[in-house]
Amino acid sequence: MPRINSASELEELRKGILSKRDPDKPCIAICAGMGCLGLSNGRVISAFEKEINKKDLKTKVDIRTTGCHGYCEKGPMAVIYPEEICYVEVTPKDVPEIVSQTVLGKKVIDRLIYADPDTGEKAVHQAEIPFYKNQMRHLIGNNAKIDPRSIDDYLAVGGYSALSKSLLKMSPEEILEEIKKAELRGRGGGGFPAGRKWETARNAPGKEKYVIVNGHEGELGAFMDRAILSGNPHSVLEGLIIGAYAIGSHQGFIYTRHDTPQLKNNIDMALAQAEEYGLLGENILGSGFDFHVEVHLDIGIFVSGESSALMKSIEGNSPEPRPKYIRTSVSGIWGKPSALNNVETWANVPLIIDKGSEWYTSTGTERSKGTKLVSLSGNIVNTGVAEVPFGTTVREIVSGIGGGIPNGKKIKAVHFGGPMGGSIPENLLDTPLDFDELARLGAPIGAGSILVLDEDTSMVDIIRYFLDFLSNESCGKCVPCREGIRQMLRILTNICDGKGREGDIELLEEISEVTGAASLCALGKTAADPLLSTLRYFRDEYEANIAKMKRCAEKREL
Amino acid sequence: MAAGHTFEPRILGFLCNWCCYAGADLAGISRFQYPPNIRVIRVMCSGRVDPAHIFRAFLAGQDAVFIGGCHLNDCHYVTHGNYDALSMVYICKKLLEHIGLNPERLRLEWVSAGEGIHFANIMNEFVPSIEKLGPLGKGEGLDEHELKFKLEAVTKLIPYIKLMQSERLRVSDRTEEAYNKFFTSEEFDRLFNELIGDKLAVCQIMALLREKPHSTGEISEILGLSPSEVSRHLNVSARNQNLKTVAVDNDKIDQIINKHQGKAGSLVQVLLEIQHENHWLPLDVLDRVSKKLDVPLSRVMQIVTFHKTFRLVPKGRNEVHVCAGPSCYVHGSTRLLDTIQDLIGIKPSETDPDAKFSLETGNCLGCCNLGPEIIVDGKHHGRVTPDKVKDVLKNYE
Amino acid sequence: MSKHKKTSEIIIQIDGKEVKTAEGMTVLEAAQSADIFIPTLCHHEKLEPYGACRICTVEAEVRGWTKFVAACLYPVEQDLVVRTRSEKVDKIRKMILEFLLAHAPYSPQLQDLAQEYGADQDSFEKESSFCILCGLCVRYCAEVKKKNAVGFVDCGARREIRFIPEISAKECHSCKECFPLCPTSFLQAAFVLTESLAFLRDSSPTALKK
Repeated sequence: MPRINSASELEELRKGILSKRDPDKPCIAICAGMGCLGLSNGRVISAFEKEINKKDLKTKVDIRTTGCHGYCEKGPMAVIYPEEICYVEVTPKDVPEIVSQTVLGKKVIDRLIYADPDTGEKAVHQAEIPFYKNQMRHLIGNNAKIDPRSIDDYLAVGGYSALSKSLLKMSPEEILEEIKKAELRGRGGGGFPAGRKWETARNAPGKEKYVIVNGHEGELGAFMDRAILSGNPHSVLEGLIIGAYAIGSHQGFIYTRHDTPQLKNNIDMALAQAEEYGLLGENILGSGFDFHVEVHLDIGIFVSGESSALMKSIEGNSPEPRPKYIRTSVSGIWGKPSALNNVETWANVPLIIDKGSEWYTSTGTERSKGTKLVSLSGNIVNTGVAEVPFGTTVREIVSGIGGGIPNGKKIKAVHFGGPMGGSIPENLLDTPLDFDELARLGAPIGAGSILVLDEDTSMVDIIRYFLDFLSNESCGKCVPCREGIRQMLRILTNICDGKGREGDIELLEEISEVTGAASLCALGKTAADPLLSTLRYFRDEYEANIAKMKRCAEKREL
Repeated sequence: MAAGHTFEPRILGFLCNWCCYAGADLAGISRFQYPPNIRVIRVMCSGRVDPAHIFRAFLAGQDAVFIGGCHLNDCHYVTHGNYDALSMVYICKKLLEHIGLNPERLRLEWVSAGEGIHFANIMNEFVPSIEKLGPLGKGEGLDEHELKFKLEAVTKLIPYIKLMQSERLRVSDRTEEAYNKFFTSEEFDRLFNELIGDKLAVCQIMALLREKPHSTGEISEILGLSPSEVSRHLNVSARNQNLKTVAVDNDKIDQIINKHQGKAGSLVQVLLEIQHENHWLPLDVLDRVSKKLDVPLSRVMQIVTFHKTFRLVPKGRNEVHVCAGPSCYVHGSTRLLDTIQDLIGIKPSETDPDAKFSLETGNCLGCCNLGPEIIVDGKHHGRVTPDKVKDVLKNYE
Repeated sequence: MSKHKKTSEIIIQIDGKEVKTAEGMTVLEAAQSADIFIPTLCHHEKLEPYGACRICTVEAEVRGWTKFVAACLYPVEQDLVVRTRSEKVDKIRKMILEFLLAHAPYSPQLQDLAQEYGADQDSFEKESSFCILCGLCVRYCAEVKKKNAVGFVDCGARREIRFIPEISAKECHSCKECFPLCPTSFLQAAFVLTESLAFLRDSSPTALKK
């Protein structure tokens, strides 16, 4: 691959790639995201490959295995270009028909396109499907067009133009200003202004600085970071390099999970290809800026998604958090200023640089700008990854995109933020998706996982489930978290088993106060948040569960 | 027809100087008859008797042990040693039960100096009861070898047990009622099992393995533990480095270590790569990594025991992974897990005795459209209901 | 004598008293220098502050913003107002003590503090392990003796201290300097357990038959 040394060379390369691509050439884009792969275990992809070989069509038809398309519920999904016909729930048996009828015959196979479960209305193209229609897919929209193992695919959709603009036409200070003006807030759960974090790191004393991609995605029910990082790793890498340039860092780290080999392979490949093109490593794009990236894997524990624990893990220690009295952006890995941001946050950066902060801030609410990736799961018709502008109401997401609750059940609650978040009841579903609005209701958006719960769910049981999870994932260093969670779990288990006692709710609230105030890190501090939010909106359920036992005892006495 | 010996129990007695010994003496002087099977050792206080004495007596071939002391609250010492004897005997009885011996073989009685006839009556009852139980071990169906090995296992743990007794199994209220209430409570059972019972099982397993290698199935049979419990104890032993495990291919391990050599912070990545290659981490691999990367072994142990990701005992041929994410939970993953546990007979983090399956529950892999799902050897089986699980698992060797 | 104030001197307020501190000091060090008592369990002058027991939690107010911090780790800053006792601080300390008393009710340090804060040892169900995981033994062996004979294993509620058999067989008998640091006697128990189970291991590996 030729090494690119200037902006013009980049554009030449891009033109060259595009010129070699015939827009009319048939292409089968098969989703190779976790959800679709899990459904087929790779058999659909190999079926297509076999069929194309059999019919001797290798030079006439392209097969592209892409990143996650988002509509996991209807996977395995395949999109046939150039008509962009979208087939859902494809099985290996359907493959010969697809190749002969659609790819060659240009005919739509009716039984394989999406049909609305309520109205029966059909949709031939992905953009017509209700799940997709109501989204604003700035970040994830490109997934269907890109094979993550091909940097050329990313270049073909305009990739790395933001990098070229940043390194060759802007100064680090200008980039910092732009990010601050865009009001980019961290997407990992903290919602902290990224520009401010970068500025702190930039101004912190010391020449050695680090930038980190937090690709850990430990939040339960969140799978959108993996969709981006695995499906379009270059978008994250581009953002990372731009950020590094703005901060003055020459070493980056990508921290991600060890349990998904495909994820690591895609990242490794992306890094290698970027380096070959001169978009990473020494003298990037001839700008004189050097930047290298190391990939680190986690050991599987939830707490290693916490920024200070993550940094300890990169240092080669067990991931134990430390109190952040001194910010990690001032003293992080090996005591050096380290700017850590979530995958989605980094993926937003090239967008902001390309289209400008004014364009970016035109979407969203007053204090939450841009779009947010959310992962829908639980008792919902359409599970998957969706991207919506901030300000979309929760009801619009659950009904318009999520398709409502299956089996005609009523919705009971929507839970945000996994084990560190909170739930909102049905009557609050018209709240707009917004960092501060949801936090005010006690259900902070977290990383964006949306767990929908129907009327048959016991809220007490769900909270017990979350606390059980946290009790296994706490590092155990500090007393309030380790012991507090243990005791709260015990009480909740008793309540669930009908052995609750008078005063249990008050005791739970007392313990929450202590863990919330005195714990060392965010895990301990927010461990009781789901509990407190359900006590706020579903207190009667707890009381009923405790009363059940009381009633039983009274009956026996009679 | 049996012309053989009738069984004459051998009983060792520890009698306290001030009360019981004098009482026994009085019985003798007063000519109260009782069987001559007891051999007496005089101690200054019943509280002096140590679990080590009791188990040494059993190891030496005694069929029963008797301890006699002053009545409660009448102890001649301000320390009320007889209460210590009481708690010690409760614990020793439980220990005997745990190793399969009848706890009735250990007896504690309060006899005052003037109660000669009481002492004789006790002996007249105790000796026949031991005759009925039969010789130590044989009476409970244990052969000589098994008996020795179990008693030795307990003896090894005695310094630890004594500390547990004084620190955790203490009763602050020195009254007979409070002692009896505590030592017959569920709380005591729970504390005993967690503090001592598990360690005793591990100690016995260690002793078995020290003799010669055994499979988990064999251990389970010999010690009367379920395969699930044996697997659990082996996990714990490996984490505490009591179980020395042997590496397979040192060259491959060295290659991985050398790839990351000198790089600060490479410890976690090295361990992950070795685990990926070898599927589990033998202890001497950890030793090697510790030495080559110049990292204290305690730090290596902390990382590998931090989360269940790292396996310190060999895995089964097929790894069954039940997703524990919230979407799968809402769709019934608990029932699924229960079904699998019943089918295979093990709990999460354990391996079945044939080493066919290892079970694990794990982090959400983000395939929430597949809930509830299980992943066997990397292959996803989504939307699995409890009745379909059997079909899924039967395809695996 | 210089008339200038040292540039690194910071004046903070603790319980209404003005305390002169230097940059880089922690609130605990500052309080100790002014003879103000803040209880600690996992703190030791020879070791790096650890911040695990959280009993030194104090109220820290700066620029109108109040938060609860561990005094042993929180660095002093200008205009800091510290309150070592308050209703909430006492509540936090009482509950932390009750959590720990469920493990080790007979520890003298815990009993003294329990009296001061009115902590009831029977508030929570008795836990089997009586280690309070203060880490004094682990840190002492790592930082002062540099032998790393004892370390932490596991995480969360299952966290424990464990001796490394090879190292402790060689080093501990002639040392045992960590033993008096232990607020309970769990350290001793862990040591004898390792002794019982592992030291007597002979050189041949106790291998599992596959």
